[in-house]
Amino acid sequence: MPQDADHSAAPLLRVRGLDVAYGDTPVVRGVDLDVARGERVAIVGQSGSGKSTVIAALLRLLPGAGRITGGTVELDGEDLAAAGEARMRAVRGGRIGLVPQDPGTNLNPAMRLGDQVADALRAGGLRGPAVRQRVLELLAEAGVPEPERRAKQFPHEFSGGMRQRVLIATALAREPELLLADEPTSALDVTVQRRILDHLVALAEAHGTAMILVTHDLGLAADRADRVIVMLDGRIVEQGSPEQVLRSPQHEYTRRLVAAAPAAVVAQGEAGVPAGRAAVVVAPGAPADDGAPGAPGGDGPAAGDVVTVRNLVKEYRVRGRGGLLRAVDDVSFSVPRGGTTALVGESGSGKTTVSRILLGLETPTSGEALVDGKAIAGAGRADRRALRRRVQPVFQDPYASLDPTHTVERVVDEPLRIFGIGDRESRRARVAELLDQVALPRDVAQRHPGALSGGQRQRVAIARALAPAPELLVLDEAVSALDVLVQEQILDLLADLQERLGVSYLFISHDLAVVRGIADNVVVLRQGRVEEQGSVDDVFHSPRADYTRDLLGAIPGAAFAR
Amino acid sequence: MTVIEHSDLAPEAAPAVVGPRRLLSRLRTPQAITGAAMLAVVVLAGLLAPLLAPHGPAEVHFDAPFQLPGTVGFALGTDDLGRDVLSRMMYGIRASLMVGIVAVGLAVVVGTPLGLAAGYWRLLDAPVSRLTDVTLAFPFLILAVGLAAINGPSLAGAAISLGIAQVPTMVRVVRAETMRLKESPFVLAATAMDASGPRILAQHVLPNCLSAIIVQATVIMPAAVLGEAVLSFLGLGIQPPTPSLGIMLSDAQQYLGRAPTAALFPGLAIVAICLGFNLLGDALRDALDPSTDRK
Repeated sequence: MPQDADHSAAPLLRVRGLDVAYGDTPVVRGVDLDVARGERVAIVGQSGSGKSTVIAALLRLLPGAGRITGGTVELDGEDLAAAGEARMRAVRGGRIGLVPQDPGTNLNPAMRLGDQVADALRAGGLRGPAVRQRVLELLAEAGVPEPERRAKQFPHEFSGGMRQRVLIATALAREPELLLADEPTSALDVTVQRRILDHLVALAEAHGTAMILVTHDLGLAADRADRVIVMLDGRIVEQGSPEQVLRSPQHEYTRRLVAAAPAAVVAQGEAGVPAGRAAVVVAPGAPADDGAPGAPGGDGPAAGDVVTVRNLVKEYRVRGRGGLLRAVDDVSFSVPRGGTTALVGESGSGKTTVSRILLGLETPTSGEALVDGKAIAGAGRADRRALRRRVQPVFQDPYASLDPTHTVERVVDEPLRIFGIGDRESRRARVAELLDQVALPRDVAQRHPGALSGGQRQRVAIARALAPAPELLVLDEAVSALDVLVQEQILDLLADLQERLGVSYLFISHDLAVVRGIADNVVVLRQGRVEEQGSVDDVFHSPRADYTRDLLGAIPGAAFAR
Repeated sequence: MTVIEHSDLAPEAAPAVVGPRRLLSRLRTPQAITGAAMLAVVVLAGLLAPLLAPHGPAEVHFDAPFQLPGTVGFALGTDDLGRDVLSRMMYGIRASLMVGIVAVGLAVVVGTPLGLAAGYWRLLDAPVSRLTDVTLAFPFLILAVGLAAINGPSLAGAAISLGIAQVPTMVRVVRAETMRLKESPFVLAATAMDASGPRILAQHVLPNCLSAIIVQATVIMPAAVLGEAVLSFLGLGIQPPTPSLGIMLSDAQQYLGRAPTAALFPGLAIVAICLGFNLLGDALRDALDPSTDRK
C-alpha cells in the first residue's frame, strides 16, 4: 500500500518508526509516514488513537510528560526528532504551519486579530510597513471580508468560522512547505465546516503546500485527501487512496469505521457492499426495527402525538443593545407516540432552546409546548412534577452530564428518589434492570462515572433518563460527542429501546447524517425558524428548502455516496 | 441487535474526580511531602506540648534569664524571665493553631452556605455579594480592635475577628464554583427531574465544591496564624502570661539585642506553619484538579 516510491524526489516529510510515550505509557507505536511535496494526507482515527499526538510529535510540541522515544522525523532529510530547540523554533511556523482545532481558544482574546497574524510574520523576521501589508493580504486570502476593518477587531467579534480563517492565515503566513491541520473544523457547524475546508484545501493547492489533515471523520478525510491513513491504538492499520479505503477496506477496524460513517453507509448500501449494519440504517423511515415484522415498535401514530409544539416563540433580551433576540420564532411540530422527531440545525438555530422549553428549564415568550396536552411552563407544582416525570433529558457531553462525585447507582436512581418511587430494595432492583436494558454490566453500579468510557457514560445517562419510565426522551446532541463507532452503538441502543419500551424521542442534532438512521420526522431549523419539515425520506430525497440542500451537501463523504 | 457489543467498555480518559486513594498517590510530590512533614512536626509539637514540654509555659527561672540555645535544660534558651523558649513555643503553637482552626471553621460554616445561596439564587446574589464587599472594606484589625474593646482582648475574640475577615473570600470562592456548577449538564438534568434547589445544592453542588473549599481553607489557615501573631503582638489577642507565637515575638523585641534567639524560634515556627499549609494547599489544588492530569 505505501506509494511513496513513485515520486522522483525524496518525500518532503519522512517519518520512520516513530514512538511516542506519555510517561511510561506508549501512545504512538512505530508510525511510518511519508508526505510528498504538495500531497494531502489525512489521518483518521477515534479519540485516543494517537493521531493528534503524531502531529504534536512532528512539531516537537508534546504536552506534559510526552516525549519521542524512538524513530526519526525527517523534513527534507533533516531529523527533527534530534534537532535542538532553537532549530525547532525556526521550523515551526517557518517550514511547518499548524492549524489548531479550536478557534475559540487558540486566539488571544485581548489582542487584535491583525496583530496576532503580524506576530507570526515578525517571528519570521519581517519588519516595517510590509508586515501590515502582508497581514491584509493573508486575511483577504483566507477569506476574511473587509480585512482592513476586521484586522482591528478582537476575537470575540468574530464567528467561529471567521476565527478559524484567521488561524489559517496565521498558519500560512510564512508560506510553510507543510501544513498540519488538527481537526481544523470539528468545532464548527457543518455548512461552515465545508466552506472552511474547501478554502483550506484550495489555498494549500494554490501554494503547493503539502498537508496532513487529522480528523475523526472518515468521510471528511476521503473528500479532501490524496491518501487516507487509518490509526488505531497508536499504530497505522491501513493506508491507501480514499477510493481504496472506503470501497474495499482491508483492516477489520477500517471496515467497522466505514460501516459506521453515517454518510458512507448510503454509498455502501447502494453499492451492494456486504455490511450488515448498513441495511438496517438505510431501512427507510422505521427506526431500525431489525427486520422483525412482528414488532412494529409502536411506529404508527395511532395513539396520537406525545408532544405538540404550536407557534412557539422565545425571545431573549440582548444586554447592552436594548434589542430582542428571537431564539425561537414561530416553531410548530409534533412527536408521534413511540416515534422519533429530529430537530436539525446549526448552532444558533434555536434547537436547544426548544428542548429546554419542553423540559421546563425555560419559559416560552408565546406559543405552547405541550406534553400530553399540558405545558410544563406555567404548570402548578404538582402538575409540573407529574409532567417532568414523563419527559427526561439526555445531554450531549457524557463527561459533564453525570455528577462525578456520585456512584453510577446513585446517578441512575436519582430520579426515582426525587419522584419518591419505590423503597431502597426496589430501587436497587430497578437500577440493575435499567443497567441491563442499556447493556451495561451490573457491577458498574458501584463505580464512579470517572471510571467509565464516554460510551458507557452515555449509556448511564440513558439509563437515568429511563428510570422513571418516561414517555419522551429529549436527546440533545446525545451522540455528537462520541466517536463514530460508539455513536453507532448508542444509536442502535436507542432504536432497540424504542422498540421494546415504546418511548418517543425528540432527537436534536446538528448532523443530518446521524438523524437519518433514527428519526421518523425531521424538522430543519435555521435561526429560530422552521425551514422545512417532513418525513425522513421526503427531506432526504426531495428537500424543498435550499438550506436543507446545503446541509445535505455538507455531509462529509457525501461525494462518495453518489 | 448491536453488532459490536461492549467494545466501548474499555475505560479511557482520566477520571474527572479524584478518589481518596488516587488523591494520596497524586500527593506524592516533593512539594506536598515537604509541606506535610513541616506541618506534622509543628502540629505534633503543639498537640503533645503537655507531655513533651520540659517546663511549664509560664514557669519562670529568675536565676537563668537570657540563656543561649543549647544550654543544658533549656534546649532553645530562655527569655528575660528565664522561661523556657522551647516549652513556650510548643504551647504557643497550640494557641496559634487553635485560632487558625476556629477562624477556618467560622469562614467555612458562614461562608459556604452564603456562597451557595448567592451563587444559586439570583435574588440573593446582590445582597450577599454587597455584604461581603462591605466586610472586605473593613480591615480585620479594626474589627479586632472593636471586639477587643467590647469583650476585652482574648483568644476567642481574635479568632472570631480573623474568621469574619476570611468569610468574604470563602463566599466568593463558593459562589463562583456554584455559578459554574449551576450551568453544568448534570445539574440541568437534575432540574429537569424536578429536583428542588436545596436538594441540588446539597447533593450536587456542595460535593463538587468541596475541593475548592478545602484548598481555600489551606489558604485561610496560614493567614489566620499570621493574623493571630499580629493581634497578639499588638496586645489585642491572647493575653500574657499565656504563650502564643505572637506574644513571644512581642516580648522578645524588647531585648532583641541581648537574646535574638528568643524571637528567632517563634518566628521560624510561624514560617513553618504558613509555608507548610501553603505547600500542602498548592499540592492539594494540583492533585484535586483533574485538568492537570496528563495521561
